[in-house]
Amino acid sequence: MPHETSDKALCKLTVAKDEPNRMHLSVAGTNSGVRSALEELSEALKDRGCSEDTIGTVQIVLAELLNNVVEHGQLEEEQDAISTKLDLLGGALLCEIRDKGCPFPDARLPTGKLRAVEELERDLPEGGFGWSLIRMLTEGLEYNREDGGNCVRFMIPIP
Amino acid sequence: MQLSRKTVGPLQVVTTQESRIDASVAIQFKDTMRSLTQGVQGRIILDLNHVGFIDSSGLGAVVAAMKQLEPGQTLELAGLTPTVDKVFRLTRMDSIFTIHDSAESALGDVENAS
Repeated sequence: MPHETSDKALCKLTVAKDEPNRMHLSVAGTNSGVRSALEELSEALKDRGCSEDTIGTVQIVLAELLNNVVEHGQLEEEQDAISTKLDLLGGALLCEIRDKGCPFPDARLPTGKLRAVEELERDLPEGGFGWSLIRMLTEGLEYNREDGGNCVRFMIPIP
Repeated sequence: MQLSRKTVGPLQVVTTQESRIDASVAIQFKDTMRSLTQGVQGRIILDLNHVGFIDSSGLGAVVAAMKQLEPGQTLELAGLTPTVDKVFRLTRMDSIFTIHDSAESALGDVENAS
């Protein structure tokens, strides 16, 4: 695993010049990087007037997608491993997440089937929740391999 | 991982000052819960009122904490903040746990029962 030095940024948030609702987050491919990115993004969305509920939803979705890259992406480089573009519109947050990790199996995103309560009670699962959370909270979720990496796009509706 | 336990009447209340139970602390949470709950009998209330965010790893760690209980112990949750509550509800894992509005209301159950 690459050595993580303390002077390298866990995440970097930049805002497009003249377009304050267009943001870019560069995230280190580690759990700490993801945490840092979510905290920064929460502040940025709060500054732009998003509700607590919206900020919560955005964090839930991005935590799952970004953690997935960290855990399964087999990243060679941790620094700036994940690039997230965010566009805050009136009724939605448009997102695009790119990483140089390995492709998704079968070149598609998991279906994330929500399990029945009977099954949950019987099995008491400790995982397998992520993709159903992502699918429940997003629209237009799509995946492509582009420029030698993964590109996941989606929209989070903002009521 | 800041987690502590105290006896409140017949209950054990575990509180945390961590604001996030996520992938970066899930394993420590599970391990610390195991050492804190070892050897205590009865109802254990995990008070999450300081926790503003939980991801699926954190949820898994809370489930793991329940699964590693000893006979004679139960784990209940209290003080779920909105985003944490949302994660439990959307995954349907809110049906797996007894969830109280607060640690105080969990104690209130005990008083009303007598």
